[in-house]
Amino acid sequence: MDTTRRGSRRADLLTPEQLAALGGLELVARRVVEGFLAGIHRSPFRGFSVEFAEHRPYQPGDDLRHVDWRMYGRSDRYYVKQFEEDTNLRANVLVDASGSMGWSSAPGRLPTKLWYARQLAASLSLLLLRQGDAVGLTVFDERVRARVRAKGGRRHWAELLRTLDTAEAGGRTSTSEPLREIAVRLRRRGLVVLVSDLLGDVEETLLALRFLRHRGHEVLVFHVMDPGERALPQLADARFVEPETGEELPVSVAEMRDEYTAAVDAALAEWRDALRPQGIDYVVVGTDQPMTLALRAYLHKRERLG
Amino acid sequence: MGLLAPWLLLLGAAAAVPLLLHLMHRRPGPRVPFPALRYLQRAQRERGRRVRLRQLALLALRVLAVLLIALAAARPFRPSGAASHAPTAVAIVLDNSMSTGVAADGVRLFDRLRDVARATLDAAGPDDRFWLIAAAEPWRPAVTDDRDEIARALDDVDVVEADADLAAAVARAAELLRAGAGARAAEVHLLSDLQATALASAAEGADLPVIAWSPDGEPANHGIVDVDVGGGLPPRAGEAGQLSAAVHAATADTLTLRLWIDGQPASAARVSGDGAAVFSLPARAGGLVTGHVETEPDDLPADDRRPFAYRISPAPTVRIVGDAPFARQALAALEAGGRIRTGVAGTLDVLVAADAAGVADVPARTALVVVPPTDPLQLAALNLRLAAAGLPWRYEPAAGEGTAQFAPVDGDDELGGALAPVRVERAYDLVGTESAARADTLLQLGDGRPWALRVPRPGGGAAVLLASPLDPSATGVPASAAMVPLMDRLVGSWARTGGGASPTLRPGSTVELPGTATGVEAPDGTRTPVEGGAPWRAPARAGLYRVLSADSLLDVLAVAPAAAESRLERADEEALERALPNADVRRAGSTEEWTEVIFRRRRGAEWWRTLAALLVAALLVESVAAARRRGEDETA
Repeated sequence: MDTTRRGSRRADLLTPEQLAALGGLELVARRVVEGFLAGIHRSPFRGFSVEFAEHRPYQPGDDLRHVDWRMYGRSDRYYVKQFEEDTNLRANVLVDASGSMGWSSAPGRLPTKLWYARQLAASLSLLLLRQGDAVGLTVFDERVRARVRAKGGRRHWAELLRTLDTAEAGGRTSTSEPLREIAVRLRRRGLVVLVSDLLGDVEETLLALRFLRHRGHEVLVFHVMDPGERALPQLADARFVEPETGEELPVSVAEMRDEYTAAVDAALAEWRDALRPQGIDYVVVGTDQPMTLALRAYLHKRERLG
Repeated sequence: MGLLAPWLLLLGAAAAVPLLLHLMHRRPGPRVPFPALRYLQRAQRERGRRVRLRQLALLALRVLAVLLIALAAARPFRPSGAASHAPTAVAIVLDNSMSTGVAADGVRLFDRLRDVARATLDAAGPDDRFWLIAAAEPWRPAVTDDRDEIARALDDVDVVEADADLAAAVARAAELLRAGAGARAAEVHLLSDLQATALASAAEGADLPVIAWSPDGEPANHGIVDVDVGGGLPPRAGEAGQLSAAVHAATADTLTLRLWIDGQPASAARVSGDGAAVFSLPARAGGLVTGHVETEPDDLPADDRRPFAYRISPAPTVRIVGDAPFARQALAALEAGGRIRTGVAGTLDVLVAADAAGVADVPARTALVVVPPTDPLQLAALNLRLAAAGLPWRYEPAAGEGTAQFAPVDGDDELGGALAPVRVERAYDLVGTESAARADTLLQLGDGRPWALRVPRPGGGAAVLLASPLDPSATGVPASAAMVPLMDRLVGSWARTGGGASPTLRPGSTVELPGTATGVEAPDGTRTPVEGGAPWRAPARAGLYRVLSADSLLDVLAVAPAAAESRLERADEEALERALPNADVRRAGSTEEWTEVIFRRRRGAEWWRTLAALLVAALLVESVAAARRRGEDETA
């Protein structure tokens, strides 16, 4: 088996800072996905049908039943046969590109939340496409900014990457309206993956997610958080300014640190407690964490969907 | 709570420093973009109150620490009888007036007052200084020394039959303290029954702490408050007279009054409540008559017996010269009543001269009463005659015209009452022609001018100079009820020596002794040498005092207590405040309470240790809290 392509370290275990040094969105996403798949030693791909499409090199985790032994006899290499298949899942990845997503607590060292969201969305898309699912993409702030319809096929990934590449942070966070719009547009049931910092209106966002569930969609929420949002910065006193609204709040940081951490934990717990009963998976991902955690969460969800 | 250094409380103003620092510490800090503002708002909302409370607690601890430092520096203490105190100057005003002689359960009030004074001395410290003032004997020098000497001086003070002016005594105490207290704290200890009549005046200058002790309860008292012989005109030789005795009684019980004359019981009468009994005096030959009126003894015995003395003289021979019809009529009335006799030149006791000619050639044994002329033009002739008679006085027209009234007459007798409403339209000025001109003022006008002067004559005897003609155009005297008593007084006693009633003296009052007096014999037989003609102060003990010239009896002076001392009603708070308007007065009613309130600047049982412990505790808590916050800041 070719293991040299994975490099000395699996990309899905690299920190975002290390990932960013690898290159552009496509390369990073591809290497993340490949590293991830190598780690789980089993292919999650589905959708193999009877109409042959092409061969591709064997990858760890591929079902041995699909190895083309004739090609092995001729070339002494392992190939698996791929077929044009009907997708059995339509997934839509929603990426929050509001102004707050463009923030990093340590610019230059930590990526912005949007960078992380783009990488996550690209990696997920690749995973989905590789297993034969159709993937759509929506980039939004308080409105839908860009939308790619859900389609299968590996060539579709390039279009998704182009859309993600052009996404810039701006506008105000309002998850509810785009979610409602998407819910209305998605006629076929499928998987909806929301990647957001969830700094919009909580009640409205919850309502919109419940609405998606009501329409029969499976929902997976990635709550992207900068580590600087989990704990207050090391300052004495400061005036904290909300970038989207300009709202200002003077705070004695030293005295509020513990209280702030507790407030964040409480808010996350509230999200979890509100979403789980609805069957919505909720995953908090830090922009300082490797992608593999998020991808495992997806995989867990995908396996339950069958 | 008291403070030994109250001015150091000003340090408490430093409590403003942590307040200012707290306010200045609220700096805004840098602007930090932060999208997760909602979590901060939530943290502030849920936890901010606790943080603010912690900040306020820290601030309160710092302010408390400063205040504790200021309070501890001021050295507070809890006043306690057992505690020592800051060096204190104390003026003890001990009321020893007659009313404090009242007994309750066999103990005199004065003895209780003295015991309270001793309790003060027992609580005294070595650096204290004392003055002792006997309130009823203002002429007595105040004793000042340490507590041992004052304790001995207390033994020498006893109840006297004099009355007390407590406000004046406190004012005197305040002056002594101002002059002698130095750096010590100053207190006046007023030990008295706080009799209402003793607080009639006001001591404006007494602006010190006054701590008063007075007993609870108000004893009922009765006493003889006045004895009057003949309404101020004692009977002449061979003439019957009357004696009235006035009684004050707090109850309506009937009292029996007994009259004693020359050591023998003479008569008795019964009186109910406040009233008077009138006794008949039998006709007697000339001479001094002494006696007393007494009633049943009660808890205050000093006023249950009141002495009196008067002289019975033969009616003087009197003649009037000049045109003075009203004076002539008055003398006629006195003659008809047996008070005077008409005499002829050479045997006259008194000559009333109503014109200038009458003043000339008056024998030395004859007393002279000069009535000035109505016409001012005749004053020059009168002045010439006065000069010729060796009298260094002259009449001059008054500088200013105007109506005047008589000033109150000492003794407030019948004559004084009759003169009170009388107006004087014209009065000449009586001017001494020599610097050594001597005269006794017998009557005075309200504006201070003398109206009747007694002037010694060169050959002996005396002359009385009146300032106004006895004419209705000059004065209302001739047409008033005062005319007959005035003429009786003029010819019966003022112009003559030894010719009338001996006045009843109040203890402490002064009287001029006869020129030949050499000694005074007290009721207990002790004799005191005196200077003839000099003022003599009536002793504080009531009784009959015999004025002697060698072994010859010249006069008898009756000394009797003031009527007000028989009224034992206590002064209320309002009266006390009126009498001592600027003093910080505290009252105590028991010895235990007394020892709690005296020596206000207590040093004992100081609280600085407690305060210091509190301060350390406050600073420790503050340090922990501040260190915690500082650690958080430094971590940041």
